Amino acid sequence: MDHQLTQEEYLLIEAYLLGNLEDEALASFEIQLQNEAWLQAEVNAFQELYAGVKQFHTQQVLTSLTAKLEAEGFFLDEQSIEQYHLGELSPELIPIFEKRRDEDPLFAQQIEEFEAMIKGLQEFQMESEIKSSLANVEANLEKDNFFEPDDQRTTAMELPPQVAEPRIKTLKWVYRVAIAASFILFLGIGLRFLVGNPFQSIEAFAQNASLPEGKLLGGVKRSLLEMGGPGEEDMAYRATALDDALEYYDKGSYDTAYQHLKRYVADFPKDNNGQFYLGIASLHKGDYRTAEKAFQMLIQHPNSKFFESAKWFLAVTELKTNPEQGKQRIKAIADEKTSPYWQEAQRTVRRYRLK
Amino acid sequence: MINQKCKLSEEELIVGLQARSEEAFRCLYLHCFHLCKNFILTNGGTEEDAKDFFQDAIIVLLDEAKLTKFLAYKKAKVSTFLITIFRYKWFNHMRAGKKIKIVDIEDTLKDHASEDLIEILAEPINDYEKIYQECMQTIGDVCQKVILMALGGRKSEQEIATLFDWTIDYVRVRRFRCMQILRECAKKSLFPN
Repeated sequence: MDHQLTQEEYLLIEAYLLGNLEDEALASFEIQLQNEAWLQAEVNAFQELYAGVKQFHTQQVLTSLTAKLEAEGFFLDEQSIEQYHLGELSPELIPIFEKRRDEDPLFAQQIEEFEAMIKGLQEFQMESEIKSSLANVEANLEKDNFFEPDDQRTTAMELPPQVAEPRIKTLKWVYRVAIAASFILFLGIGLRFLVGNPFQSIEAFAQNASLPEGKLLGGVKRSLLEMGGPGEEDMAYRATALDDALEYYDKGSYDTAYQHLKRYVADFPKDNNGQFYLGIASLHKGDYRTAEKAFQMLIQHPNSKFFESAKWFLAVTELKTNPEQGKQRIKAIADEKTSPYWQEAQRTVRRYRLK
Repeated sequence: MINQKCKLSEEELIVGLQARSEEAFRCLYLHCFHLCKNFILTNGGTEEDAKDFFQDAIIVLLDEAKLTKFLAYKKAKVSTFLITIFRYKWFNHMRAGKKIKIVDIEDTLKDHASEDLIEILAEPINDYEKIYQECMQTIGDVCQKVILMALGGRKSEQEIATLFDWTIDYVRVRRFRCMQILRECAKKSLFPN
């Protein structure tokens, strides 16, 4: 049977649930509670209601408190410091961050510690980069047999021609240290100069770029003769003419070789052998226009055995005739891992900062 | 500036929490929030999860039955209990989302809390949040204030009367009426048919 709760009864239940009843009233209420089912039901219902209200109240206080804590920067932490440092902290948090930094010495100290750590990391990174550069230099020198005695280095080369090996004697360890020290000095002092004057450096590179020297052309005549077939006589003549020119080249008479090759190319303009060696001889002589023209022609034939070499020497030539184009071409080769000049191009890009 | 130190003693903190005082809640944040946040960040959660679960843990902490048992236990600090609740809730959440395999959460928590505490918090509590969020909004501002002041903030009838410029008798009338409205609303939500 439903009981209609009066205001007085409610206030009594409320006082009981809130612990506000005096001893005598409490004892009396508890006796009534034991005997009256409707009162037990009401007390249980209000108990649950109060719990709900208290939970709601707790939630409200917590919501308001967290908003205040947020505004005070309480939730800012190491991650926020990092975000602030990187300029990634959300704009609404920046004034809160700065206010807390200015007012909270502990937080300011945390920021200082973080910045000190970043500085340390940067110094470490710089040191690592220098070490890595030195390791690269040493690896490259090792690869070029820099540390080997003269008699152990390979000098014979086969077609297609490769860049000539530097003739450097084996150095004692003290000289190696001296070279390493010079390199550090170069990094420390010369870097600014290099960065500021990249063209001057790459121009120097073009000036000193290694070109094929002597005994590079063996087999050309044989390859021409082996072609045989129709016009065999013509082939024999071509082979002899080219062989003559290349003999001068082998002997280091680049001017004479250049004259012979020019004539040869005039007779046989489609001969890739002639075009290639004319290009190289022209480079030796300083006739960059002729060299450029020869290499340009060769790079039109991707299936030619001279294709990759022509691209590289065209880049070297263009550093004289069209430096920007030359640099772009070297960068492109540095991206082609399949190119036999890839390592050389990579080294050049790194060394002359062609980025 | 952030007050980095809680000035309340353990006893004052408990009294403050029972009265839902902001200062007491602030102490809980200062004592435990960053610890809880680090725990959650290393266990697959985010900072937002940490904020949400921290609030939920406080709600559980203040559950009448649990708080009464905890106070009778007398062997742990409130902050220890809160952190245990927080971990318990997070593990439950992870298990529910099948993000981790926790066969026995109680066993996992035993590394961090006593068995007595775990027993206290393992008891289920009624979650009134949704019902009362809705009902407290529908009873109107005055009723909400009167009820919260009387039950939540434990204000005296005289204080409420002064605030609203009412007589004490009228405070009682309004309180009774407001509770009836709230009760009806909750009843409808709990037993819609």
